[in-house]
Amino acid sequence: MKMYKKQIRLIVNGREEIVEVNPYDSLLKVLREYLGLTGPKRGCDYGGCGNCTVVVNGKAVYSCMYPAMKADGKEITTVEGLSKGGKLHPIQRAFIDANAVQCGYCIPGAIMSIYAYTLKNQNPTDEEINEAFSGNLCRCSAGYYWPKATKLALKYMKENP
Amino acid sequence: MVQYDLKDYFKPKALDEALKLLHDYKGSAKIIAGGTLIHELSERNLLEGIEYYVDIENVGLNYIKTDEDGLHLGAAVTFNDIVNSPVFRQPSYYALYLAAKGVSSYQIKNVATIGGSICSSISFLDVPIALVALNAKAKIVSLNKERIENVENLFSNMFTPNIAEDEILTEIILPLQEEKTTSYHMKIGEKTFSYALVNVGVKVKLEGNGLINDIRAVFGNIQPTPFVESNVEKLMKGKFISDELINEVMNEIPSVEPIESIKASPWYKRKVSKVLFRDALKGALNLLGDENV
Repeated sequence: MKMYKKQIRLIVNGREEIVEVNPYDSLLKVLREYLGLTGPKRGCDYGGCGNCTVVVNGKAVYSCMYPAMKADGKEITTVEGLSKGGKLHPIQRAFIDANAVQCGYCIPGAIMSIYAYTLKNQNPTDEEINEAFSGNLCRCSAGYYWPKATKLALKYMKENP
Repeated sequence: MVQYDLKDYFKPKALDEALKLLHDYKGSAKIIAGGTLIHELSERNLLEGIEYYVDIENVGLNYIKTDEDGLHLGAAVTFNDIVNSPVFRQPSYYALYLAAKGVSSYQIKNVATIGGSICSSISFLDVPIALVALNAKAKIVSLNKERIENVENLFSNMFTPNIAEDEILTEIILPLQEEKTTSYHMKIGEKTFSYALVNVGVKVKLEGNGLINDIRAVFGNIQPTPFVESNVEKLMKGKFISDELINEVMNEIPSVEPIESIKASPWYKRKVSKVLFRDALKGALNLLGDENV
């Protein structure tokens, strides 16, 4: 099969990356297979489960259906980019403290969804929190505790901005 | 994505450039905006022969503005742009707000575009049903011509809109906001994140004391294209709104046999479309408040 490689430039978790991709590659494939960032997971690969959620220019997107070429020149944050200097991000800390994790497979996606939402709204209502998580499925029912974890995270952020 | 024979992914910076690419690669180039539908189509191997994507994200089609002709939305406006824009909270456009808000999930709404929802030509997507109910028009341009069509006329069959391969749908035009006009959208699906089994968009214009000046009801998934129910207009226009009148109309719709689909039988769709119509109409009237109804 003939390959038609294209070069793109991404800012991933604050670091510039130049990658050669196929025109049809998804952002998820580039992050996982070319850059070795395995935080975003390949779940359904169909825009339904939310495990592949990453933040592109401040917005949560499904990286499985986001063309890598579209991400050219954009800023991408994955769950790997949240902790700073070995210290967990308040959302990560809150997910642990609120016991909002069971098997953990869906958590990198869920955390990125709520992270993107809190970038623009630091005082979400219960309905808005549910809306922010609307694209993330959790099969072990830990998802029940995500809103609680979110509120805890917002408290941490206010106490320690 | 599995579009393995894709040779290039263009990101033009201007509309002319995009039109030229579509013209030059006619038949083998496909427009991509949010990419959600393209992803689904390519996963299902329905994009055979497509070797180029033309991304219209950067050609300046993400505006929402009002002028004397109406409310203009660029084709690359996303569902979340609609949800977050206060203009769509007004009763005249509320159907579109509800339709965009009801799409799941948040990540999809961040990227999926209003133009893409029409170009899919799928009769049960929520946003197009709301647009048809609101009498929306669409501007379609190619290198050497430009046309304006009613959105309902762009649908022909699944995935095959009445838009040529070298044309781009650039803009949706909604009528200017009107007094005492209200609209609503409702859907029913087997799960909250499912596509609609049946959905309905309603627009009503009243004239003091509940007299119906104009009414329009559009159903999705009843026919292969959005179905404008003519019985609603015929039976309700010029009459005073009342529960009896609504009941009478519920007996007369839908006026066609609903299409069979894998998830819902025609019998079910017939039953549920009556109830959806009633509830959507009441939802629309509630937006206007008591003094007008």
